[in-house]
Amino acid sequence: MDALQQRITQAVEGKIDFEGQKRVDQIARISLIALTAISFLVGFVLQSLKATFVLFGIGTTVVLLITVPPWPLFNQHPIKWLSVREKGAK
Amino acid sequence: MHTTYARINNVTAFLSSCTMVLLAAIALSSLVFTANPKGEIIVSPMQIYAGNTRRYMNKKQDVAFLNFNLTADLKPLFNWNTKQLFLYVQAEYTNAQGIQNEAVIWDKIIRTKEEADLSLTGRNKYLFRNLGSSFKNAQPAHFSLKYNVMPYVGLLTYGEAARTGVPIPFPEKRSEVA
Repeated sequence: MDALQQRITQAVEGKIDFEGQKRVDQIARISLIALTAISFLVGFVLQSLKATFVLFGIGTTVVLLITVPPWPLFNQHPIKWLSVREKGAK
Repeated sequence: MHTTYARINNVTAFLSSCTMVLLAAIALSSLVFTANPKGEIIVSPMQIYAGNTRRYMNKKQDVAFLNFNLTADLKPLFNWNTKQLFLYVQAEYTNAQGIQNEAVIWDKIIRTKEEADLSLTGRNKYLFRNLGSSFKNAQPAHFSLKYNVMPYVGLLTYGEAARTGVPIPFPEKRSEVA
């Protein structure tokens, strides 16, 4: 029962490692800036605000889907802790 | 960025900044479109009758009636950021006291680009009255067709699409409706 509870907590918490965090940050920043610029340009060229906001909405959903869940890709560099020192060892 | 909640928070915070930039860019893009379409307004001679005023039971007030023709192709005003146009015909005249007056006598809302190629005849939709009781000794009036562009995002802009070449004089008051 405790094990199940732990797994649920972990899934909800969705922790990722340090490398993963760096990656998520980069992905979110670059893709959102690109998305803003592209949706503006597409709308301007097509002369349609609808195109802009549909594209922006779809793009936002995709970015959130990529960055929010703790995908295994973001957990490939677990921290390697030093082994526990034996008690009394010098 | 270590937990799901922190990632939602971070990504949506940056998303809101991006949305602001996008909206600002759209608002600023309106400045690129500098269409200034011109049309024509022709106003027939006015007729003036004494009418009852709502405010004072026993007082008569001059009311002017007129017909006009409008032709104007306002399609160029529609760009990606145009929601609708508000058109109005404005009478501009100096009354006997030497005061410059501007009165809106007709208006129309244009919602689509297809509607924007105007060719219509109309008459004053709103009662055209002088603030005093009479148009007597008022200077001849100019009439202009003005527009107000309402964007989806950004500032309202105003412009003038047409103006009468020769001012229209106020005629003598007629006592009875013919």
